[in-house]
Amino acid sequence: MLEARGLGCVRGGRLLFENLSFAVEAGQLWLVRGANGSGKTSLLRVLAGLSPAEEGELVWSGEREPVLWVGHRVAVSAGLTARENLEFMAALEGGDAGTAAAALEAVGLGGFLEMRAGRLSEGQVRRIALARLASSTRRLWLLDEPLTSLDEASTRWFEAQLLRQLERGGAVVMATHRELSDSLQGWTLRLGA
Amino acid sequence: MMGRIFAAVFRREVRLAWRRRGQLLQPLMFYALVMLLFPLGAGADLALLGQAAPSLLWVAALLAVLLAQGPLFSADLEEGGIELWVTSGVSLGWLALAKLIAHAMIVSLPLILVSPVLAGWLGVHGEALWVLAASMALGMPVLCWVGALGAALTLGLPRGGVLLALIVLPLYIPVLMFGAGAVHAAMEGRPAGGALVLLAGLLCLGASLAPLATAAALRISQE
Repeated sequence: MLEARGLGCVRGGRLLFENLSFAVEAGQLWLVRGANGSGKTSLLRVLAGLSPAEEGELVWSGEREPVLWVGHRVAVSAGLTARENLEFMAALEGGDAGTAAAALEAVGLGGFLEMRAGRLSEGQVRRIALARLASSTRRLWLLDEPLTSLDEASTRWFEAQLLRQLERGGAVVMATHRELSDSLQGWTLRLGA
Repeated sequence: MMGRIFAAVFRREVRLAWRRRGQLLQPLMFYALVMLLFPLGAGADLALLGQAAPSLLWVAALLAVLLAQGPLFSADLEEGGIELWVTSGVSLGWLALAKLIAHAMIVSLPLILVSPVLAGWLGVHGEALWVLAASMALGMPVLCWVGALGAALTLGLPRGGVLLALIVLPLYIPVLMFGAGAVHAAMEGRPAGGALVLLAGLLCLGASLAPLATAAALRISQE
């Protein structure tokens, strides 16, 4: 699906990684691991096309397609309600806001749909952003620390979404410090080693 | 599809602006206060007031627009909204166009609506009021779009506000000259059409270039 050839990244005059090559294929889960500041976020941003790589290139098999990106900043607007946020994201990304809203209900956030996101907790805001995984048709998901401040039920829901994405031939690259359940087997990319 | 996205961005901006309407009131208050205080300071010289009114109205409106530019993209940057825009696969220029049109409407409309009232206070009468409203309707969106471009270029910079003013003010000058010029001409009974047509030209130029330039600046802000 997406191949990285000899990627190198410099941030703030410091070399984070160099000569990094890997190929993400359909149905694969890639876990990016490494200490804080080892370049996990930088790597994901390069893959998402948000920032350029200093070295190397990204090669898509076939046409370049838009990815689903959930960054450290989750793009949930504090001034909009959870439902309005989902509708806006669905309009931009072509997902279905109804499915995403149902996904919020599935993780116990149904009562907060009409509440401004600015009044919700950090974990709840992150769940709004992650709810669109339930209806996303994008083949490649790039997730930066998606499990931060998620409770146990939400983590299990999230893992189910990952499984669904892999089973339907999608791929996921995510940075995380947490261990996933045994049903999710992935490749590990260790940075700063 | 593109129309649906345009409508979604537009609706989001209007909704957010309405919920933060206190922020919108600030430029409006500034504009009204300058206009109300100036005659008190200038004394009872009505002839002088009439002479100064067009440029005064335009300068104050211009600075009021500048006040509204700083926070334009800051929430989108902090919350990650710009990342969503860039990665969504939708043309960034199209998204910027929707945001800029909404922004121009939200900021300019209140200022344009209060202008004739404040102009009356300064002794502007008759046809000149209509020319003032027309010149503002044509010129204010240009000021908003140039300001938005400046805001996108200075996004995330410490003390970006000063830099924003430095970038934007030189580009504001033509709009100020034609805008105030049109009102002056109308007050003296000369035709104001020429200046208005030039403002309309600037409006077209702004509408075609500002979204693309703003989109490019937003993309760079992410690198």
